[in-house]
Amino acid sequence: MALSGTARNELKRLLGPRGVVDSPIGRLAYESDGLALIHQAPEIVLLPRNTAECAGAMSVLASEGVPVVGRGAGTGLSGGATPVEGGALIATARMRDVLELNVVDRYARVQAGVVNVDLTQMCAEHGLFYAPDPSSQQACTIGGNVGENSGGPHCFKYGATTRHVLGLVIVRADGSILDLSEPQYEPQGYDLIGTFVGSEGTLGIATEVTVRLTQKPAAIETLLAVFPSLDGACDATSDLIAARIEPSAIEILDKLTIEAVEASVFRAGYPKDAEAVLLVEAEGSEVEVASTVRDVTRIARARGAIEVRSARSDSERKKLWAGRKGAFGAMGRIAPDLYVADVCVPRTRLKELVRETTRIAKEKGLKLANVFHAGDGNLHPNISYDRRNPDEVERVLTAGREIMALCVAAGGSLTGEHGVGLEKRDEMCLVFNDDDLRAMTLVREAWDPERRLNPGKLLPIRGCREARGAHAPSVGHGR
Amino acid sequence: MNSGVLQALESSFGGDQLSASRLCGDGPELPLVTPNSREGILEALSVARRGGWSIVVTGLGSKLGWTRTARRADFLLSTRRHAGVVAYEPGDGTLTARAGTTLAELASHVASGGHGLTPDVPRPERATLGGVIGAAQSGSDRLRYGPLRDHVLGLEFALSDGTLAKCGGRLVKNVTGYDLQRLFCGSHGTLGVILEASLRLFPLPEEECSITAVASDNAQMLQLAGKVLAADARPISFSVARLDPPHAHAQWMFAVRLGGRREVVVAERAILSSIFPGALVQHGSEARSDAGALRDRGFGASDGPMLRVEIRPAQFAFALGVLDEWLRAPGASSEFRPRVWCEPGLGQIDVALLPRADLGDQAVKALAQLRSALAVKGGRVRLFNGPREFVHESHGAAPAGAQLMQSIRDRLDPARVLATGRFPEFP
Repeated sequence: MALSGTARNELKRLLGPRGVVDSPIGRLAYESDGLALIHQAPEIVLLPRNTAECAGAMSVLASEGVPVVGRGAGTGLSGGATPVEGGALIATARMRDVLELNVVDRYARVQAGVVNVDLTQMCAEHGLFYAPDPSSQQACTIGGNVGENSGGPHCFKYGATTRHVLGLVIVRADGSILDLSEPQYEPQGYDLIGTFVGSEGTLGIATEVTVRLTQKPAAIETLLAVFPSLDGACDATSDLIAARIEPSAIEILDKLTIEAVEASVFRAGYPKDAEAVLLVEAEGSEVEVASTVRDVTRIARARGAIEVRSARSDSERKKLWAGRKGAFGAMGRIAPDLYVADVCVPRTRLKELVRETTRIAKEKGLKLANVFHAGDGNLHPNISYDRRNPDEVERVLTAGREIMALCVAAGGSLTGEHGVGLEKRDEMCLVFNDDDLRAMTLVREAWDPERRLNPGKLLPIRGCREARGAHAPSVGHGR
Repeated sequence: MNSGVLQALESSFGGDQLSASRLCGDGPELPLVTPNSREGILEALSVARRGGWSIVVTGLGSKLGWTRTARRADFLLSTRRHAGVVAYEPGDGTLTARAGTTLAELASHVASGGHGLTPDVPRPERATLGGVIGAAQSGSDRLRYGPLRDHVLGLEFALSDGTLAKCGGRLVKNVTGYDLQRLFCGSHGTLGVILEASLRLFPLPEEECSITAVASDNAQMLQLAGKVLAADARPISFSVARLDPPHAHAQWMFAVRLGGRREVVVAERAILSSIFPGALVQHGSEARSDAGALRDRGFGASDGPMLRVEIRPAQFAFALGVLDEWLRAPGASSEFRPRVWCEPGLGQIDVALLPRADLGDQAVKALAQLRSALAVKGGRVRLFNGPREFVHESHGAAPAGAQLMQSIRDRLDPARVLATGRFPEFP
C-alpha cells in the first residue's frame, strides 16, 4: 500500500523536517546495507530521535499498512536492512544518547543508534568495556548489533550480543512500546529479550538497549603465530579446542588477507611471507594469561608455526587488532567489491572445510581470501569481485550457495554473526524444514501478526518443500 | 482419576509406560505416561488432543512446585524415559542428548573427555536435561559460567499439535533463525515438549580447591564478600550461609570453590587465603566432595518451600538488610522459619522455609511487604514449592510483556493442551 499524503504530513509533523527523508536523492543513500549486491530505494526514510517519536511514526505506518525496515548504521552484510519496495525505513542515526551509565551495577542504557566502539570508550575510565566487538565496531550501532546478535573476535570468550543485553525498549509493529529496560538477570516469564535479539528487525524495532558492561581483565597478551601453511593454522586451532585451552580470541588470516592488510593503512606488521597467521589473545589474571600463552605457543609450534611472538607493547597489540579488524576494508585493494560469507562449522573440521571453500572459489575462477573467527568455527571466506561484471556476480553467488550447502552438510550453519537477512533467506531450507520454520513463523506472528516488519527477510517466503521441488534435494537434513 | 483419560492412555501405551503421580503433595492422583521414544511422546500429545485434555509436561518432577499448579491437568507426560546421549563431540566441546537424560549421567559421560557442564544442580540424578532447561535452572556455578540459557545451543521440540521442530543447532556460534531455545528456557513446558538439546561444554578443572571460613556478623560478611568479588580470582561458586543457630563468634560461613588450571588455582588460593587467614582449605577429591555437599544444601536441594530474592549484585547488601528487617518483623517471624543462604556475586539470597501445608493471610501480606521494599532497588522475590494457591500471589504483578507472552503461547499451543495456568507470570 502506498503512503498517503496525509500520512506523510503526519510523519513530518511528528519527526520534524530533519526526521523525514523523502527526496529521490536522499532516499538513494539508504538503498542497501553492506550487501551492496541488492538495492532498493525505500519509499520514505524516518529518523526518529527517541522511543516516543519512533512509536508515533510506527502507529502512522501501521494505520497505512506500510511495511517497515529498521536500520542502524547499515554495516550489515546479509541485506537485513535492504529496504522493501514501497516501504518505510526507520533509521536510528539520530538516536545516539547514552541514557544511563551505572558503573556500580555495571550496565549502560543507551539509545539504539549509539556506536559500538563509543560505548567501550565511554566506560573505559571506569575499568569497564562492552564485550561484543564486531569488525565494523567503529561504525555499527548497538541497535543493529541487537538485531543481528552480532559477534566479533572476542565472542570466543565473552559470547555474542545476546549474552550482554540486559534490557530493551521495543517499538512494536502497531506502534505500542514494550518497555523491558530494567536490567534483567533472570527473565520474569518468557525470555522476550532473548527471543528478540538476533530477530533481524522482524519482531520490532529496539529503540533503547540496556547492556552489560564487563570488567577489564588484569592482564592481556596477544600472540601472533606465523605458519607456513593455512592447514597448520587450522590444525593448531582444532588442537587448542580439543585441548580445552581457553584464550579470549583465536583468529586466522591467510596470505591474501595479510598482503591486503599490509598494503593498506591498517598495516599491522604481519609477516608477508607467511601463508597464514594465527592471532590469539589471552586474558585474565597474570598467572592465567602466562599459562594460556605457554600452551598456545606449544600447540602452535607442534603444528609447524615458524615463529610465535607476543605483542611487546599496548600499541603493538592494538596494531595487530587494527589489522585484523581492518581486513575487510583492506580487501578493497584487491577488487572493487567483496562478498563475505559467514558460515559456521564444527571446530574439528576446520582444515577440511577451509580447503573445500577455497576449491569451490578456484573452480569458478574467483579469488578467495580467508580471515575468520577460527576459535568459534566461524569462517569468513571473502570473495573479491566486480559488481559491474554480471557473469562474475553470478559465479560469486553460486560459490556462496555452494559454500553454505557444503558447511551445512558437514554439520555447520549458514551464519555465525552476520544474520540470514535477504541473502541467505532461501538457504534456510538447507538447515530447517517447513515444520521448524512454521514454529519460528508462529512466534513471529505473535509479535507482528501482519508480518509487516522487515518482510521477506530471515524466513523463506515459499515453503521449503515447494522450493525444493524446483531444485535438487537439500542436504544435511537428517534428524 | 478420570477413567476416560486412563482408558485412552491404556489403548496407546503398555503398562510399563503408565503409572500415577501427583502435581503436588495434596493434589489428586493423575495418570503419568512415560513414553520411551519421540513417537511415544507425539502419541501422548495426540491422545490429549483427541480427548480435549490438558497435560503437564515433566521430567522427574523435581520442579513442578516452582510454578503455580496447572489450572487443569488430566494427565502428566514425562520425558524421563526419552533418554540417552545422542552425540558428544570432545573435539568440539559440545553435547547433544535426549530430554530425559539426567544431569548426573551427562556429567559422567562428558567427564570421560575432560569436559564438564553447567548447571551444577543439587540432586543431579533427579534433574533431567529437559527439566533444567524448562525451568531455566542455574546452579551456584552460574558465577563462573553464567546462566544455562547462554549455553543451550539448540533444541528439538514437539508442539502440542504434533509438529516436530528444531531451532539452533550443535555449534557454539550460530545465528541461523530465531533463538527459540531462549524462549523455551524457563517456559516450564507451556510452549512445547523439549525432546533433545545441545549444550556447550566447559573444561573440567585440572585442580580444585575449596575454602571455608566464617564471619562474625553482617558487616564483616559483607566486607569480606566484597573483597572476594573484587579479587583477581574467578571462583566457580561463592556462597555464604547464615549459621543457625549462630556460634559465639560466627554468624556466617563462606564457601568458595576454585577450579581450573593448576597454577591458576594455586595463585587464586593464595589470594583468598590472604582474605581469609585461618580458613579451612581442601584440595582434590576432598574439595570436590565439599563442593557437592555445599551444592546439595543449596537452592533446589529439597522440595520444601523456598524464597529467592534476586537483585543487581551491587545491591546485595541492601537486599540483605531489607530481608533481615523483614524476617524480624512480627508478620514474617511468626510465619516463616528461615535458613538463609546467599550468593553475593549473583545478587541472590535464598531462604529455605519450614514446610507447612498452608500460609495464612499474614504471610501473604508479609511477602507483599518484602516485595515492595526490594523493588526500590530493582529487586524481586519469588516463592518456590509454596502452598498451591500462594505461588501465584507470591510472584507479584504481571511483568511487562505479559500480553505478548500470552500471545506467543496461544500461537504455539492454540488448543491449550499444555499446562494451562501453570505459568504464574500471566493468566
